[in-house]
This record gives sequence, C-alpha cells and structure tokens, in this order.
Amino acid sequence: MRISTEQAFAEQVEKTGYAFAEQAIDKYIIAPNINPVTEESQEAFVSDLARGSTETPKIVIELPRVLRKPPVTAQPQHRFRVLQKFEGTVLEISGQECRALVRDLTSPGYVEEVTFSIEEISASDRGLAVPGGIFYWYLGYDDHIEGQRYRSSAIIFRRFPAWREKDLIKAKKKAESLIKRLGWKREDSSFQR
Amino acid sequence: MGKYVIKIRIANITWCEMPQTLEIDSAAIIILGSFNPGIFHPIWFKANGLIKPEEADKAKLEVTTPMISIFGVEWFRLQVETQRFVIQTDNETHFELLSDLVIGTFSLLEHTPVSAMGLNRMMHFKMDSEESWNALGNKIAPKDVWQGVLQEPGLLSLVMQGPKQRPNQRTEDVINVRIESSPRITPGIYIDVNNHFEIKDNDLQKVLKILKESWRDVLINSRKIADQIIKEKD
Repeated sequence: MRISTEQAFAEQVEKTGYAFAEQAIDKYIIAPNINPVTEESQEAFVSDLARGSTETPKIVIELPRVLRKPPVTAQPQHRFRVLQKFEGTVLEISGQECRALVRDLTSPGYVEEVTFSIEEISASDRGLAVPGGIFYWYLGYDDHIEGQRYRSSAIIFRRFPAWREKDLIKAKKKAESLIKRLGWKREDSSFQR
Repeated sequence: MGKYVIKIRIANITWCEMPQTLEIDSAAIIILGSFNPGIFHPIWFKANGLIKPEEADKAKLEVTTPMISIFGVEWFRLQVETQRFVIQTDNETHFELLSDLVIGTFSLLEHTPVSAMGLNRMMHFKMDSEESWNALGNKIAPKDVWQGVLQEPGLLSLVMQGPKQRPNQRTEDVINVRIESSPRITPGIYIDVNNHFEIKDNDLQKVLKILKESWRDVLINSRKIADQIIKEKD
C-alpha cells in the first residue's frame, strides 16, 4: 500500500512538530502559497457536488487567505470502546433514584428493569430525566493514549425538538382517525387539549 | 459524588473483548439538497432544544455566512453549504444521537428540498505489522497487472460499488466502499462505507424515515463490511 499526502504530512508533524511541518508543506501540496479558493479548488469542489456524491467530503472549505493544507491527523488522546449499549426509558424518578426499563442494543431481546442513582446522569441531562424520557446507556472501556484503560459508563438522553402546535393538531387528528377506525368511543376528557 | 444505588443485574452483561484493531470509528450523515447555511448556528440548535445549552455556549464557531456555516461542539462537527449538509462525529457513544440530531433538525426544517443522502461509517484499523498492511493491499488489488507498467506499484485508494440489497425491489441506492492507507494510524487501513440513497421528488420525509428505520442497521452492516475486508489480510 502507499501512504497518502495527508499521511505524509501527519508523519512530518509527528517527526518535527506542526510548525516545522508547516514549513515543509510545499512538499505535500500542489500550490501552497496561494489563496485556496482557486479555480482549481473551486472546480474540484463543484465537480464533487455535480457527481452527487454523498461520501464524506475531502475538500474542506476554508476561509480566504488560509493555506489549504491537510488537517492535523494526530491520534486521539482517548477512545471509548463500547462493549454494551442499551436504550432506556425512564419509568419513575423517586428521590435520588431513577427506575428505568432498558433494552439491550448489542444483544436484541434482552430487556431489564434497572434502578440507578440520578447522580449517574449528567447535570445538563437531568431535566430530561422524567417518566417517558429516552436515553442511551453505554458501558465500555475508556482507553487513553498512554495505555491506561478505565472501565466506564455513560448515560446520554435523547433530545428532540419541542412539540409545536401544528404537530399536536396533526397527532390529535391521527388519534381521532384511529379511534374512529377501531370503533372506540371517546370518554376520556383529557383527550381534549 | 453521591452513593451508588445501581441495581442492574450486571451478570447478564457480556464483558467480552471486542476486536482491538479498530482504533478510530466515525460516522457522518451527508444530505444533498438546497440549504440556507445561515440558519445552522449553535444558537438555533440551542433554541430548539436540539443540543445542550452548554454545548451551544462552548461551540467552536468557524464561519457563518449565507454561503457556508461551520461549527463544532464536543461530539460533532457540522458543515452546511448551499447544496450540502455534512455532520460527523468521531465518538461512537454519539452515533445514535447524530441521527436524532439530524431528524430533529429536519423535522423543524420540513420544507427543505433534498436529492440524496449518504450514511457513512469511517473506520481506521491498526494492522499488526507492515507485512499484513501490504498483504491486504496485495489481496484486494493484485499487482500482477501492474508489472511492467509501474515500478513498485502500491495501492493508494480503491473504491468498490454495489447496489444496496433490498428484496424484490429495484433501487438506485448503492454502497460505496473506499479503502485507503490510514492517514491517522500507522500501519493502518482506512475503510469508508458510504450508503448512498437517492431521494426522489425532494421527499424529505423519506430521508427522515430512512434515518429512523435504518441508521442502526446501516452502521452495523458497515462494520460487518469493514471486518470482512480486514479479515482478507489472513
């Protein structure tokens, strides 16, 4: 296999540091000392779109007067390796405890009721921890670049936009249509908004 | 730190070791269409409850103009041009949330015309040795045909395409698999699995449906494809 220009640049960064790699940049890119919005780069950009490609774009738009260079490609400082992941639904919040039903996304079919401390939930997500709230729960290893491995757990709540008036009207119409089709009678006054 | 009261029966969880070769795992959702980049600002996402307030406050805003908007928060980077929406995360614990964020965004921008969508998983695998790195290159791109044409030919990039399999249904949707030497891991292989969906009639609802129903399967399938390719080194 052959290494790419990005990799060559990354290796240069590794060997000499970013500043020196920048000085050596003309070894790795075709036209280093010009504004990146050249006819050539525009053409490449337009042709990428014209092909209708939905691959992750390689041409990153940069501000004028910034040299176009490959991104710094250092290895990440740590990586969370997911071993097990669950999707959970909050059933009840009682004092400092959260009771939830969790469904295993790694081995479908496993459903379990769990109770955990709300301390496990990040402060910014606690407002979402209400009955019906949906979250993902990840268990895994947090591997750090120096070699240390930590067993780790993360609970992250799903976020959806707030319901809008028209969404509620649409949902109500749909529910009414369903009730009609099923031949049910509406007795619950709470159905009215 | 408060007291722990976790009562989950942890015995049912399999703490098995996953293959250690996958070093960097990213996912991206690309949508082609017609966009108004100026809208895509951290404040807009915060105002609509799509990201945490503190994420919006700490967002790294690179540029916001009528032509292009780029910003990043801790777990994703967003780039919106007038014809392309690109969002990417390098954090596996946020793959599901990436899809939620796109669904939430376009549920609000419900009249956005769209023409195609790509669901991408980009993986950097560390190879055992330079020999296995070369062996994989030789296996997927045999060098025989290049003998006498190039001196010391080496694989730089290879893209294979195949139709997306759907039972009893003709489709223009395809899977593109790109294999390259990893620019981030040495010796490493970069595999980008692009699941390309053609969207007819600017049907944004189809985009949302695919994301809701297929995102998880697409990610799993993409990983399977990559694992299959990596196995070829043996």
